[in-house]
Amino acid sequence: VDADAAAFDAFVRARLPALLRFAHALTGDPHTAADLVQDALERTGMRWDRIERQGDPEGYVRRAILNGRVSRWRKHRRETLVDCVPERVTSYEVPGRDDQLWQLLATLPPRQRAVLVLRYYEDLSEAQIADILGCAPGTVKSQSSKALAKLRVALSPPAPTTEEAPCPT
Amino acid sequence: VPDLDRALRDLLTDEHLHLPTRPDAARIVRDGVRRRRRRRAIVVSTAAAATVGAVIAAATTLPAALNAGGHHPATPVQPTLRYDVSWVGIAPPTAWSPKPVPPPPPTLDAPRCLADQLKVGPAVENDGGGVIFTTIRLRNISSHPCQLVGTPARVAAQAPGLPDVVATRGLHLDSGGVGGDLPPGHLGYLTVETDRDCSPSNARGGASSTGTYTSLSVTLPSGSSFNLPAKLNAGCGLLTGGLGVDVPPPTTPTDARSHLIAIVETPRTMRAGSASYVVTLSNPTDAAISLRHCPGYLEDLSNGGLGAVDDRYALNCSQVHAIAPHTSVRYQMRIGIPVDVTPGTYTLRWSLLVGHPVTMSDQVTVVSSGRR
Repeated sequence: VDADAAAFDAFVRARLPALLRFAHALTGDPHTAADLVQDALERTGMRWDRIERQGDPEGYVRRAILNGRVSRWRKHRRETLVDCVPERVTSYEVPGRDDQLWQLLATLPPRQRAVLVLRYYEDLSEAQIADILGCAPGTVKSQSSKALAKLRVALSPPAPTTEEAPCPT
Repeated sequence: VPDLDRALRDLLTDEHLHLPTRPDAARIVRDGVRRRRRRRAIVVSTAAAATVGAVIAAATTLPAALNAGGHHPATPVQPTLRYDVSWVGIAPPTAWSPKPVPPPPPTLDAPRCLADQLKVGPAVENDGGGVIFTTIRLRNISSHPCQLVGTPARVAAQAPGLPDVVATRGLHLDSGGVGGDLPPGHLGYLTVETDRDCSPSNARGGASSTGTYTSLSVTLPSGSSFNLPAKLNAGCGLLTGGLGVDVPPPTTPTDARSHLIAIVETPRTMRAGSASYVVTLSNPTDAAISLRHCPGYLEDLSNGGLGAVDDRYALNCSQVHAIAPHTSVRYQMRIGIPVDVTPGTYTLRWSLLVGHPVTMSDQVTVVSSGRR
């Protein structure tokens, strides 16, 4: 038992910074990220011997973080769900692209955001993402497509006043 | 949006995502694990005690109940806290919500749309995983409805000096479009698809393999056609979906259980360990509220900092299957408070886990269990 506890402590110390970064990318909020990581590590610690025997404790924690994120989103979606991404800023105080993109990422549903994080931050293939999220590769593709489309629409410059093309010939 | 891929890679880096870690983080996690183990032990022992208690209560009250015509006397939790339905320590069921009702399908009575009845909107791209969907919006500017259905007779990407790339039918995600009558002023659509990352053997040779096409020519099923400017990379081919009309989204009926009103009654003090309280669910509506889809609930005890308890259980729906109009049912609740909790004033928040959560909270003073 002592050896297990020592191994778990060592795992936490070694992997905590990376897990926090991962949760931060998923949530966009450092406090929520810290909560999710704490919760996931506590759940992992409860059955550490079995999880360690299975050989991929970090994968387990990351899945726990992802599931925790989706679960919290479901619980609080009434407060945070929006039909559309926020209107783009049209007057002064135009935010930098990074700030704007970071805020727009926060408006995506968690699975769409997770797909982008796993693709652009973790550099995983569609098959690997599908494996982690427990869905089909086609679902990963469509979620990615929807997420990117939302970001593109929100980031694209305002449409000109004559937004429609000339009448058909 | 010149390069969203690059912007995302630049944004999601170790440097940007770095968060400081506390030097005693491992100890905090270890304490959390220990607290969870203790809480689980309490819940297990509480459930066992409740089972034994229920057996004893049944043995003593059943004969009297049968003699009294089947009326079960409410059992006191505390001298002043009585309930109708006892607590059960079972995990919450999978969340249920009413099924969305799809809109009626569009009618198909009007004549086919002609090109001069439609105003063509800008092509909107939707890029993901190498596949690019381009949606063309079509508004009926005539004064009569017209039918927008089926696959266009011909769709072709065009560019000066390059041969036309004629689209084949069917999209990657098989989104054929929902066709129907398009009323005046309403919007329809056509989706075409290109692939940025096709294998070299599938790419067209020469300049066209990377060439960008500048316009799209569409011939409608009615035989009339229109052109629109569109930047398309059709080097890997062009696919077209069906013509469709915008249909309203499905409507989701309100979950009747969300109309319930919860009132939490706690004893003045709760002793760490296992404590009881009562939740009254009232139905203020004129219709019975069914509990056939039995909801779960969340009980959360906190004092502004870390929560001492955050547990979920199923409501005991075995005795009351529906709450009649303008009536109430009192449910016994139990909560496993860690024995090492800091004594003080806490907020007990109780939420029925339904579509629109029914939430109520009460203040309670938690005192030490007296054993460590």
